[in-house]
Amino acid sequence: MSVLECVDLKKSYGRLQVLKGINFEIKRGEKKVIIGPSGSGKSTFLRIMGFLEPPTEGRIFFKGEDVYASRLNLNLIRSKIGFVFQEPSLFRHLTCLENVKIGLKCVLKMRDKEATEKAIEALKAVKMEEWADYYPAQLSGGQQQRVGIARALARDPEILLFDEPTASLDVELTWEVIDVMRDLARRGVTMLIVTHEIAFAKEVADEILFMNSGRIIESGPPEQILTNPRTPRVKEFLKRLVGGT
Amino acid sequence: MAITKQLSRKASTILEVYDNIMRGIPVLVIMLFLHFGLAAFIPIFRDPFISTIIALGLRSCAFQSQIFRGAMNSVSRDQMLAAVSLGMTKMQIFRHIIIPQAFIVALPGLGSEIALLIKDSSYSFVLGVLDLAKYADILRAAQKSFYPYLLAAAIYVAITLPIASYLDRLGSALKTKYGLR
Repeated sequence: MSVLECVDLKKSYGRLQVLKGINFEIKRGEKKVIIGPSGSGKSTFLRIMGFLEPPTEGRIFFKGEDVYASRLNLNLIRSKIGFVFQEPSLFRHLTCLENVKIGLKCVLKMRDKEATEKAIEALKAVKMEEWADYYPAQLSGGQQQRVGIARALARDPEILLFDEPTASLDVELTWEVIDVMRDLARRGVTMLIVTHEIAFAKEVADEILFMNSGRIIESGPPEQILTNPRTPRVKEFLKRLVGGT
Repeated sequence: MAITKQLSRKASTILEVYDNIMRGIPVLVIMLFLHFGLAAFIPIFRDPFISTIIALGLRSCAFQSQIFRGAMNSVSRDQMLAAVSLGMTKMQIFRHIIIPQAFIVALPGLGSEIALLIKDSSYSFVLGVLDLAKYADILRAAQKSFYPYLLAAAIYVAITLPIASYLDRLGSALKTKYGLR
């Protein structure tokens, strides 16, 4: 069954058209990775699929239901989607545990005890349970990102969306976050990931989508996209990425 | 939804105009206006004490709303987006994310505003309220000595300094603890 699907999705900011008609579907248990140059609309696409922004045109289906046409409660749908941002976006005045709990209590209306249990479980999944009572300011960027993943994971979401979760981290911290994501992938969590970590993409992705100036210009299994891309634009991008320039 | 948005936009315009006007008028002028002007229509302002309190309150509201507005804007957009992604409502975000952090950021500004409020209460002697400044003036006249002024000054400092410096230090300590800017 498809978890998220969009048909002819378009988004404009004023006169600037950022997304120019995207068709996309992700089914339960699938892992899809979006790559592409910056400014190609990857983040915008992800935010729209996470219902953080409305599209200008097009339809988005969550588990088969047309979300905007049927005027579904957006907060209810957001509570079933986990979103991990590029910048660590933990609530600064709350401990790690409270960061993970707040959504469970405010949105899912769990009791405190139940929320605590759920939150600890999620912190364990990202190996941060020992830091439960620390504030974000006391943690490294990588640790903050892991707590961010725990926060997204705690409500057993239908899908996890990652918007370049390692882009603001240095190499070593990148790997601790990638390890956690690899772990989740193995457990069969449905994931849509924007990233530049090609090795990781190759390892976990069922499909890689290449975005360029608001369109998905090529998609397919990792081996094909990464070793034998059809379009010159993808070839060029990969060459630069692997070349490290 | 659209209606509440429109209403809140109108309300915020009104508040902004209020802020700008109130911050531009000396508190003494507001006091005189209330006690000697408005009192003709609103009898409660015949009481100089009440006129003083209302005047100080009106002016302080404008300053405090500026302080809180700045503090609320300092809460990062990343955190708000994260809260939205969790499915929190606007009210929940306001109550659980924005207010607690904004309050910490506002503490130092709030401290100096409270100090200012206490000091400006001395203007009330113009309306004939027997406050600390007026009392010092009476003693000065009776004793033909300027020491009562010194004493009054010391008392003002003793009240305002601890409040302002405490809130200032508390604010910086909490900001460091939570890594707020």
